Amino acid sequence: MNSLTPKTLAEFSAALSQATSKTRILSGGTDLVIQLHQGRAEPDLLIYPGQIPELHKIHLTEDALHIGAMATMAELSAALDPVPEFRAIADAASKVGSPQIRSKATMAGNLCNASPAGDMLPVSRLYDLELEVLSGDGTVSRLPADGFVLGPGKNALQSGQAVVGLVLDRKCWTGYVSAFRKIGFREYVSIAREGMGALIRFEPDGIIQDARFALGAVATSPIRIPEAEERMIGRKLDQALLEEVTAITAQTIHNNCRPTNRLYKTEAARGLVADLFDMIQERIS
Amino acid sequence: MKIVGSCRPIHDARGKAAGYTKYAGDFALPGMAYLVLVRSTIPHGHVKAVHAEKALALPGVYGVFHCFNTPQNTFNRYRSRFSQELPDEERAFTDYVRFVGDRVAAVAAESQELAERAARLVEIEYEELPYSIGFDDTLSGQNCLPGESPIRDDFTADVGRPAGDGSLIEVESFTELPRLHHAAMEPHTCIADYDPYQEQLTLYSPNQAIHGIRVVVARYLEMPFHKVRVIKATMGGSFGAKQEWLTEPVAALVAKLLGRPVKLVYSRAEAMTGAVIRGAVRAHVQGKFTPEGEIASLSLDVILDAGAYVGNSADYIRTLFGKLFRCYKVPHAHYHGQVISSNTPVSGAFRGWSAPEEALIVERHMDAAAQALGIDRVELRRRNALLPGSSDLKTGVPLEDIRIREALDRGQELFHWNELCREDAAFNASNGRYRRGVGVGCGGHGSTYFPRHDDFGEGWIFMNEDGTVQLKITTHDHGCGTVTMLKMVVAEVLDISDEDIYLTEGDTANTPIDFGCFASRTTFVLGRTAVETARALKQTLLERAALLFDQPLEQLYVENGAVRCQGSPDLSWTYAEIAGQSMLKLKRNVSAQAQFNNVTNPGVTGAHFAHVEVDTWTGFTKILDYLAVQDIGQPINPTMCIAQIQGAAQMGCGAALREELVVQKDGRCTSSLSKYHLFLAPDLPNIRVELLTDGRSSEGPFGAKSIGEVCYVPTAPAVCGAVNDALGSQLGTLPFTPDRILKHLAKEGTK
Repeated sequence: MNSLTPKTLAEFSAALSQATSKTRILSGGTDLVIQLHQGRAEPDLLIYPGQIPELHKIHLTEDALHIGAMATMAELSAALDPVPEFRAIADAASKVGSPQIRSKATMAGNLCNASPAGDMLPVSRLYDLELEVLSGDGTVSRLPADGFVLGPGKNALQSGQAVVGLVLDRKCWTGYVSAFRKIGFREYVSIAREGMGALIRFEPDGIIQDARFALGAVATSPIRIPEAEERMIGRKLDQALLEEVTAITAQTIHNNCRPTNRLYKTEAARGLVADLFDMIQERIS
Repeated sequence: MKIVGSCRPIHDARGKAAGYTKYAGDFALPGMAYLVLVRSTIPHGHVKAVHAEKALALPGVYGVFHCFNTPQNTFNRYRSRFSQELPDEERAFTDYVRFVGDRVAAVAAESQELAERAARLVEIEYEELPYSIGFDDTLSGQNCLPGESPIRDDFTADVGRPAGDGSLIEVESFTELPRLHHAAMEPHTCIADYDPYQEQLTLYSPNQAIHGIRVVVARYLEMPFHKVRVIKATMGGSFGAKQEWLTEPVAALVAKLLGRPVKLVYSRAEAMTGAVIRGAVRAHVQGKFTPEGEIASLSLDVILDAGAYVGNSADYIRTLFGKLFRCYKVPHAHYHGQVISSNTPVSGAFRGWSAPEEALIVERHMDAAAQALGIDRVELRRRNALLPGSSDLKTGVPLEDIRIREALDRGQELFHWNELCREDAAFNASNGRYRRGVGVGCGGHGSTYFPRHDDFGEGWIFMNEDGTVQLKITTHDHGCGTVTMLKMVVAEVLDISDEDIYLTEGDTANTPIDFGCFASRTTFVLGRTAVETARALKQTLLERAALLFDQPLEQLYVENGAVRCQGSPDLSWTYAEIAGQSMLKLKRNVSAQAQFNNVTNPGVTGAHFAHVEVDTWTGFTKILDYLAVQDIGQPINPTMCIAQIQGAAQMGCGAALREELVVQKDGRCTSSLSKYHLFLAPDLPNIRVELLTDGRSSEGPFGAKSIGEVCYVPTAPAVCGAVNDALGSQLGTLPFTPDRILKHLAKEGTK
């Protein structure tokens, strides 16, 4: 196995021009390194873009959010925790693994790794996130997050392509609040059994104008809950709405998850949605 | 006392925390080969062929060893002394695999990475056989090991006579305990170095009994004992996982065949499924109680799943019965024990050696009895607690100053048990989502092997020219501080600082015979041995001083690292002076040795209390408060004891609420910590500990009793009891995971 450590984007694209379908990009490595040790990944070429300075940047302007592919979960949660519309990303990033893992793991890596339990998958579906993709010929294109995850461990990248950044519009989310909550096997250092993100815009009188929900770790890729989203509009965040959204979410989970975990995941939706609503309530008051 | 009872850091804690301390896995010898095992991927079958060509073709691969190119010799993993009657049933590499993880082959290569790669290239052809993954399969007649009975052991025993008259209340309970992983931070490791020119084998491994390994390996390789040297390496935890011999016979065999030093380090997956586990247990208890809540009779029906090899299971199931008589007054007990086989990972030793299982079974029963009788759970235990001066009904051995009733009383008060019961009732009445409850668990254990084995210790000690001391005792520090403990008791006797003592841990070439670090015997038996050894050295020092300085022996005494003379305050000779002058003038070294033959086994107990909050919407249980009251006698190093108890509580919370090795239908067992959910420090409140120190032992060092295992015994029962209290349930199948809790609540909801 060869390895390359490009120092610039130009070198990165030159490295990608040598890539084959067996080539892997190391962007944190919290999953890939384990796969390498276990022989589950046997790449011909390993490319580590961590020495390209611009890939580490998180750039937040009034108009947009740009997350470099090598920005860590720890950096992400620190940068976005104060930003109401993107706080769901901070919530998710802050509960990934342990502090050690969060100092290595990246959101781009989490999306590319395409684990059904990846916490960044559902939050990416809340926004119309796009992935910036670099190719071996030096061109940069964009792929929408919707449809990027094709199945466990499978994403929409072609061989010889790598994600260099994640792009989110910001203007269209002005005035929104967001949150993400997951249930694992324990409170800390746990892989999600089910996770749910919410992105909601309230009128000044507390009436909901727009809402998005995304569920993670239920199906092989994250799912939106259109029925629950529609039910929210024109309503206030109250007990009746909580119960309706809980019922819809539980049904969605029931319909989409594997039979072995169905009872638990469906029953636990009650706690999951209630906690998510509590977080939103706290953030608007 | 100056040293005993003070707080001392564990000798290698700083080095371990800083990453400096070297474990066996950190060492390399010149020319050493790295060994990686090829394990069975099927639960049961015959190996028809091993195809090693692809592995052998890799440059740097030294050899592939397997069932068809190694000797037929067998060993027993559980043997720890020369006199045990046990079947030698395991080969290093087997052609008849009995579970997923059985050793079929091993690759030796110049690096760990290469050996791992090559091991993946070894292809095994199997002829598959039907298999059993546990109780249901085996008990329904699935023949998991043809030619052997699926019921490996079946016996009954009775102790005592039923008490009470006709007006007894009958109580019934059922408990099912899952397979558990020890989760020591350091995996199993061994370095084997065979010198073909001196025909000398040296083994370095973290283990609990160097002399046990010597018996097994010497017999297995047909070598005399003096040619096998076993050195106990720094250990990163065992909890019983490193008291059966798996890496050592295999590494030794390959080192001898290969003519190179060999290192074998298990992966976490191998430590979880290829070493030993705590076996699954099912228990059915029928109890009879007087209306006042006193136990009249207990009848236990217990089944243990031994897994694929019988290992220690026959002893284990018998030991479980004996634990019944070390906490409560049980006037009569009937026991039916069974051991079954299955094609699953092998049951072995686990912290407490069946006492935690016994406590989970009996404490579940006590909670059920308390409910049936309408008696408070602490009060019911109080009425049955063994009192100081009691004896073990089964063995007749005095339990001495056992303080379980005091532990219950003290805990009830410190934990505010009565107040919490009232507060929780109010909380639960006014809360739809969260439910709170309290639980109490009691448990007893031993401090020594007695009367099961002859239990003795031996120590060798000598004084250096500068007055510092070197002690040789075959101890096996697991990382919990027995080295520091031994230094402290010697320092106390000699009235010097414990920092002036060096202790050589177990090394068959350098330390005396010992049965190993089992049965929580180290502090009691080896601690007392160290006291006797230090006393012998003190006597030698006094005699030499008397000779050297022409003083009456009976007037000499030691104080603060010097020999002094009664009535002559000006006379004082430092230990350094005496040691030096003894060498120069008397031509004799200041040294001594002593043996301690142990014939007691005082009771040691604890009562633990847990306060929990169950989230009935997610099934999560939060530990709100935890108190451990431990009847410990004289603690040698109280901080260390408290840390042991806190660690036990963490482990017990995991056993109660989360931990479970699951064997799937295909025979594969949980083999990653991502799927085995240990309790972590952030999951816990401060674990409060109260040491009851008045119940001293008659024979232990300075009145000490054991702590390492007993403190784990009451943990999970207390937490389980609290969850059942919170939910008003009678759950008996562990662990109480969020899944089980929500399943239970869903069932309750539909009623």
